[in-house]
Amino acid sequence: MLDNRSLTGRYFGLFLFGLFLFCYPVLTIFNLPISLFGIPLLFFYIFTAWSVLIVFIIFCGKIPDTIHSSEPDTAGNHLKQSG
Amino acid sequence: MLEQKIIIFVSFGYMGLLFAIAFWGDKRAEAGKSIISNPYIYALSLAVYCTAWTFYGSVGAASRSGATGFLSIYLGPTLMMILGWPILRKIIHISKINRITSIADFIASRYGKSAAIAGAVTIIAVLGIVPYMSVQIKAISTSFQLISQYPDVYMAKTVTSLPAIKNTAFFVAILLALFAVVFGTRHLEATERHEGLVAAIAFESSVKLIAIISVGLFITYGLYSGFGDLFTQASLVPQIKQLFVMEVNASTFTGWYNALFLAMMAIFLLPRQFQVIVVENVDENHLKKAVWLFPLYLLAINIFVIPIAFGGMLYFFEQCASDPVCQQELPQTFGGILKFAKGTVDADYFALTLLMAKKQQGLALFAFIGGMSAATGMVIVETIALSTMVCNELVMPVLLRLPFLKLEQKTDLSHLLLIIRRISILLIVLLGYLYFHYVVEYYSLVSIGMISFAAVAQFCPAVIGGIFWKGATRLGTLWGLLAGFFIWVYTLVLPSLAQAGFLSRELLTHGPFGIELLSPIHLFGLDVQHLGFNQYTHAVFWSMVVNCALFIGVSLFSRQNAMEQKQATLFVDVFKYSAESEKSSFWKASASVVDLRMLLERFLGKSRIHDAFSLYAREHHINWEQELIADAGLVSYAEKLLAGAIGSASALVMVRSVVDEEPLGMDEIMHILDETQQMIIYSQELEKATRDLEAANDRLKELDRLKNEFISTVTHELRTPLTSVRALAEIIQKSPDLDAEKHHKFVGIIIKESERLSRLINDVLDFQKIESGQIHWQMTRLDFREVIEDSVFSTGQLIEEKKIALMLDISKKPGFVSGDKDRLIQVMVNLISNAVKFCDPDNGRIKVGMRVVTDKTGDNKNRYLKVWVKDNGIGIGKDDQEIVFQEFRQVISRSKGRPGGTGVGLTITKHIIDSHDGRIWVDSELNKGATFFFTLPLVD
Repeated sequence: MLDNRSLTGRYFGLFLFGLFLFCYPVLTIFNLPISLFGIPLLFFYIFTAWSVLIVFIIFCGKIPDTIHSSEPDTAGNHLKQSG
Repeated sequence: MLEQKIIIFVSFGYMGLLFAIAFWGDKRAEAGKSIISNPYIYALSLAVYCTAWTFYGSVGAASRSGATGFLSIYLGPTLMMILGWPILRKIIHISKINRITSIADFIASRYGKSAAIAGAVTIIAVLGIVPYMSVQIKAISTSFQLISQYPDVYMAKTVTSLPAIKNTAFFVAILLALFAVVFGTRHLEATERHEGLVAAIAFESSVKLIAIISVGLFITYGLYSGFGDLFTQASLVPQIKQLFVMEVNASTFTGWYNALFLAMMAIFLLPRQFQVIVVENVDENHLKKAVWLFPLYLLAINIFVIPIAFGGMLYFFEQCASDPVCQQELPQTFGGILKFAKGTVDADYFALTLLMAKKQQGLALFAFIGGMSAATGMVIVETIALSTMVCNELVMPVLLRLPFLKLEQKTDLSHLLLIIRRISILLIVLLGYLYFHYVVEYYSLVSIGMISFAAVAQFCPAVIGGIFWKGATRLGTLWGLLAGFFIWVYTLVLPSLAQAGFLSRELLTHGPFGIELLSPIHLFGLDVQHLGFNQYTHAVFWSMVVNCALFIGVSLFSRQNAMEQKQATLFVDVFKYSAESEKSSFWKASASVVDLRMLLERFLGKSRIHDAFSLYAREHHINWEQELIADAGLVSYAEKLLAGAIGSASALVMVRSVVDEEPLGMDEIMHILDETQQMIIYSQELEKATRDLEAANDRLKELDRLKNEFISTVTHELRTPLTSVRALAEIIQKSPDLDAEKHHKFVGIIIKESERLSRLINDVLDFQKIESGQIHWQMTRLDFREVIEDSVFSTGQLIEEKKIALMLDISKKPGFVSGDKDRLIQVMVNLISNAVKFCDPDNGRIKVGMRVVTDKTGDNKNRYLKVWVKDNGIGIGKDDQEIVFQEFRQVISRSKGRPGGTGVGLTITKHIIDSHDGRIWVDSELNKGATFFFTLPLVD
């Protein structure tokens, strides 16, 4: 069943990804005195990564929903029996 | 426009608006048309996390340390919300089922509804939040002071020590407390949910977001032409340019992770956060949207922090260039405060001061309202949450146990509860004021706030461990909490008091009584300098290490009582037991419904209880006129309702006093557990009995087979002689002139066969007697030699016929035994006949022996008679030696086939010997003959 357990797993994986995005070593990669679109790189990176992470969170929760809603009932039952 | 009167008027107007929204929200909730039951409101309510710290403090932090100085406080919650589904949802689910009313209630409930833990958590929360409270008070007072002195932007040098600001702060504190009382303690809610409050908070979250964005937009696009322009100009000022990148050293490294960790914990462990995320949650599914909506809010509210900070710095550094005092003291690295001739400028309040400097009165007022809104929101929700905990978990348990108050007999306690809550709110806010008054002026807003974060982080093991690890025990949690709290006090509060001058600074550097290892700022010799640990990182490190270590260690070595185990299972396995736990009741029997109702009405009021009971009646199809006794389910329901008002520990006590019989005591629980144990044992015995039955059944089938064998053997054996007798009799009858010799011979055979028949039938009868235990022995004292003589005589003819040589090896002395002579003769005859049967007919030799044996084993001297019958026949194989004595068993040899006889001879023999206290066995090898031995006890 594409339900709680896989959802939890996804969120946990995304959490680790987020930890990675904002871990100190990664921040030092972008710690350069250059500017992107006029904005200092570090600021740009943090806010961009933050936005990307939020988008990922949205999709993390959305995908099971779409699978559930597009599957017809019989297939759903079939999934249940074989699961 | 910016006169003090107008500012105060607008502020009160705004608070009035908030109150109106709260009132409307509550009314709608009562009418059943909740306005807050949507995920957007829920997500906005979480934004109560953003306080004056966000509005003012972040700007100051950004101007001192750039992006990494403040963003971790908001990235942490973002990361934690990702874990919202596995962790927060579980907490919400558990709390709904157990009607949890606060974080203290949650933790206490998990660890067996422990009053001690409830009290400990409450005290830690209250003391921990005091610094945070003072931050808000400071922010409101300072920003009010600032905006009132428009157009003067600079704060007079000694303004923070002026009675004026301290008075302002005092009034601010009182006002805040009043607002909190009005918002949160109008009536007692069984579920501790305050829909109106949530609506108001959602509104104020929008206001502060819009306010800071407006300020930011103005600065970025009004004062400058966009981000690019702002940053380009900023790069021309060295103090600002160096903030574009972070300093890479141990200090920023550890500081980053420390703040990230603390913020992750704070987002759900702060009492106000627990209140809005868990207690006020209407629908678990709202969490799905909140999980990304709230991080989005955090992102939005932080976008303009850096522009505001840099804009402020740009402006005021410019002013600095033309100010004699400032020019002198301008540092290479900006420390947050700029000193001018006219006064100081604190970077924390750039959002205000910059606007004021640019004469933007309206916007400045809006900014002030935004900051004030953020601060008041925090104070209101936090004090409501804390006062609930203080009332339910600290005060009520104590009051209930004081016998002279006779609280059980009072008819209306809801009033008392409300009063206790209101007093708590006042006291907590006053504590916050006092902390501000004596300590806070020396610190930035951010650093004070971190103290509170470090305090609530102590709840992390208890909560996270509690919902995932059943083995976490009450004792482990208690030890962990108290130790962690103690370390927090020692490493954070003590130093802040020392730095504020209340304690000697020697304490910090050289430790108490000169023991440097115990110094509050480098405990146990931790090399904080090289590690880059600031005071907060140091405190968090030690407190979390000790807390976790004791939590895990003590839990592993302590046992849980029955209540703890039950609660642990209910919490950790909440998704397995969801439906059933509604009925989970620990109550053995019943109370009268009337008594229960009266108890509940005393605390929650008549109308609420009427509604609650009607709901219960509908769900369980009960007619209150007929049902006079409340069953265990209703008692449990009542307990939970009551817990909503006075906490689960007190509710347990109160319900106990009403229920006729005590709730299950330990021995009763043990009894029930015993019964369960007995059921298990019983079912195990049942299984064993089934196996036994199966074995018996198998044996029965075997016996049946043996019986059939016996019948066929017996009939065969009986038929053979009968056939001979009949045949011969017929011949004699039909041949009247048979010659005398033949006649004589035939008659002899008939007699012999008849005797044989008799013997066989006697055998069978004997065997039947043995099996049914009907044999009567006639015991006499006899000399066994006579038995042997008689038996040899009986079998003499048989032996002669078979031409077998019989030898006797009898001792000369008599062997006196006590026995039945006939039966003993039967034994000898049987053994000798068998020997004859199996002997080689041409070369057979049988030896019969008797000897008196003295056995000298041990201390006893045993004297017994040993008799044997030896033949030189085909022998008996080792396997068959076991079975020869069994009934119907005959040794079937390959050469000689089935022996004659019924197969019961040896069985009877053995039975006779056994009955004489003897022992019989055989010694044999195939083709080497067999010797049957038996022993009999001697008599004198």
